[in-house]
Amino acid sequence: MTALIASEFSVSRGAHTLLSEISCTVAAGQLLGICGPNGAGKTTLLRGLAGLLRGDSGTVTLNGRALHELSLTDRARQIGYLAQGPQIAWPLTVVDLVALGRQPHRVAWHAPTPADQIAVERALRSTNLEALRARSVSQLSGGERMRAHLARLLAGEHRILLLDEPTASLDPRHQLEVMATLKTLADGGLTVAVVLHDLTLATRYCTELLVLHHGSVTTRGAPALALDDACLADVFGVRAERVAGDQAMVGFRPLHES
Amino acid sequence: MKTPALSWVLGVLGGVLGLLFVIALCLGPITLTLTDVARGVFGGTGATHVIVHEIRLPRALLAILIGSGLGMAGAALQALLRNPLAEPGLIGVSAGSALGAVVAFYTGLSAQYALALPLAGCAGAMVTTLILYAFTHRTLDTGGLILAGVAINSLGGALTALLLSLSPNPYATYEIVFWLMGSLADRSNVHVMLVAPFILTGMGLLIYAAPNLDSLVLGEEVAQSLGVNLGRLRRWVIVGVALAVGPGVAVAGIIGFIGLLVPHLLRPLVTHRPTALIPASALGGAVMTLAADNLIRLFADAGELKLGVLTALIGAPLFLVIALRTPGSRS
Repeated sequence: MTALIASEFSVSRGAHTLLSEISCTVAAGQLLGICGPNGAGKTTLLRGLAGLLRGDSGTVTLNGRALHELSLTDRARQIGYLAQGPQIAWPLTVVDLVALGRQPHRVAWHAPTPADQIAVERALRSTNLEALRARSVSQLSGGERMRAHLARLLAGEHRILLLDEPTASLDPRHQLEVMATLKTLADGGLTVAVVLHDLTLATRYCTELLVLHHGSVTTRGAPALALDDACLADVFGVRAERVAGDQAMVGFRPLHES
Repeated sequence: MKTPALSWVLGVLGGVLGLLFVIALCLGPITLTLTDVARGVFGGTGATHVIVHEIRLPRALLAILIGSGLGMAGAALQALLRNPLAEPGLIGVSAGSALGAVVAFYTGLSAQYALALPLAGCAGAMVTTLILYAFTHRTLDTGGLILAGVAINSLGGALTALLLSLSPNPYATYEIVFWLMGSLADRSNVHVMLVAPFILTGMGLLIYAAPNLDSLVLGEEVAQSLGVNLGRLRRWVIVGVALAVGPGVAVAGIIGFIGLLVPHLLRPLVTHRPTALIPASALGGAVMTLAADNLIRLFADAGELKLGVLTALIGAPLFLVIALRTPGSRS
C-alpha cells in the first residue's frame, strides 16, 4: 500500500511561518483535497509532499522512507507533480509535451522504449487528446492545454499524483472532467492529493479534505464534516447556501449578508 | 515522439557545412582545385601547402569551432533561461570573456603562457554567466533578462575601455580594438590547437546537459519533480557555455548574434526540444560563421570587413524582429 505521510512538518521563511507542524496521510485509493484561503500554505504543503521543499522540522515519508533519502529518479518515478498554472517555455507539440512525463523512466540519449510509447499513447487516449497529438500547445484552448499537462502527468505512471489547482481557469464541464478523472485514478488504487479552491468540487469528488488556515490544519476528515458551517465561517469567512433538505453546497454568501 | 525532421536537418546542415569547408579551402586570392587542396592538406611542400595548411585550413577550422560553440551555447542558454533572446554576445557573456582576454593581454600573461588567453576568456565568460543567472533565474521575464544583459555588457565594455585607456602602448590599444571587432584573419594552427580542447569540452558538457534541459521547458519546479538536479544542471550549462564561448572570443574577438539567430531559425524545424536543438545549433552555428567568413574573403579586395561587424549587421535587425514577436509572458 503506497502511503505518503507528513509528520509534524514545518516550513518557515525568515520570521514567517508557512506551515506549522502539519501531520497528514495520503493513502492509496484516496483522493485528498487540500483546501484553505489564499496564503494558507496549500501549495507549500503540496511541494513538501512532492519532495520539492525540505521542511525546517518534521518529515515526509513514502512507504516509511524519508523523501530526501530517495534518489531523485526514484522519487520522480513514484511521485507525479502538476504545478499551479503550469508553464511551458516553448510551443512543443502535444505528444512531445506528454512524452516529457516519461523523463524519469528514460535513459538519456536513448530512443523511447515500447513501454514509453505505450504509456504516452494511453495517456493521450485517456485525456481525449489523440486527435490533437501533433498540434502545438500554443494553439490549444485553456481546457485542452490543461488536459495535455494532465496527460503528461499520467504518462509518468506514478503511484502518487499531486496536483496544484488543476481546475483553475477551466470552464465547469472541464472542471468536472478533470475531477472525475482524478477520482477514477484514485478508485483504481493511486494516491492522489489535490489543492482546490472550489469547495463544491472538493466536497463532491474528494474522499477526504484537509483544511489549512495560517499554515495549520484546522479540520480534517470526510468532506461534509470537514467543511461544516463553523469551518466555512472561521476559515473562509463565508456561509454556505444549500438546497433545502440537502447537505450539498450550491453557493456562498459573505457572513454579514442575510 | 519520433523526430524524423532532426536527422534530415542534421544531414542537410552537415552537407552544407562540408560544401562551405571545401569552398573555404579552394577560395581566395589564388583559386585552388580540389586536388591542390588535398595535396596541401595531406602533405607536400611549397606555396600550395602553405596556403592550404597554414592559412586557409586553420581559418576554416576556427570558423567551424567558434561558430558551433556559439550556436550550441545560444541554444543551451535559451533553454536554461527559457528565453529566446538569451545569446552569449547580447547578454554579456562575450563581453565578459573579451574583458578576461584583455586582462590577459594587458598583464602580459598571454605573452608568457599561451594557455592564459583562452583560460582568461573562459573565466570572464563564466563570471558573467553566473552574474546573469543570479539576476534572472527567478523570473521568465524577457525585460529583466535584457536589462541584466545590458548592464553586464556595459560593465564589461566599460572595464575593457578602462584597461585600454590605461594602456601605456597606443599601438597595443589599436590592435586590441580591432581584435575586439571579431575576425578570423591571420589565425594559425596554434590558435586552433589552443581553443579546440576547450570548445569541444564545453560542447560535450552542453550535449550531456541537453536531456535535462528538455524537462526545464515545464519550469524549474516541474523539472525537479521529473528528477532533474537543478543545481548540477545550472553548473553544467554555465561551465559548458563559458568553455564553448570564452576561448573563441579570446582568439577571434566578439562574433555576435550567431547564438541568437541559429537556434531561432532551427527551433521550429526540430520541434522546439532542446535535445534536438542543441546539436542542430552546433552545426547551424558552424554553417553560419563559415558562410559569413567565406563571404568576407570573397570581397576582401575592397578591404576586409570584420566578421563580428558582418554578423552584427545581419543579426541586429533580426534580433529586433524576434524581440517584437516574443510575448512578455508565456502561457
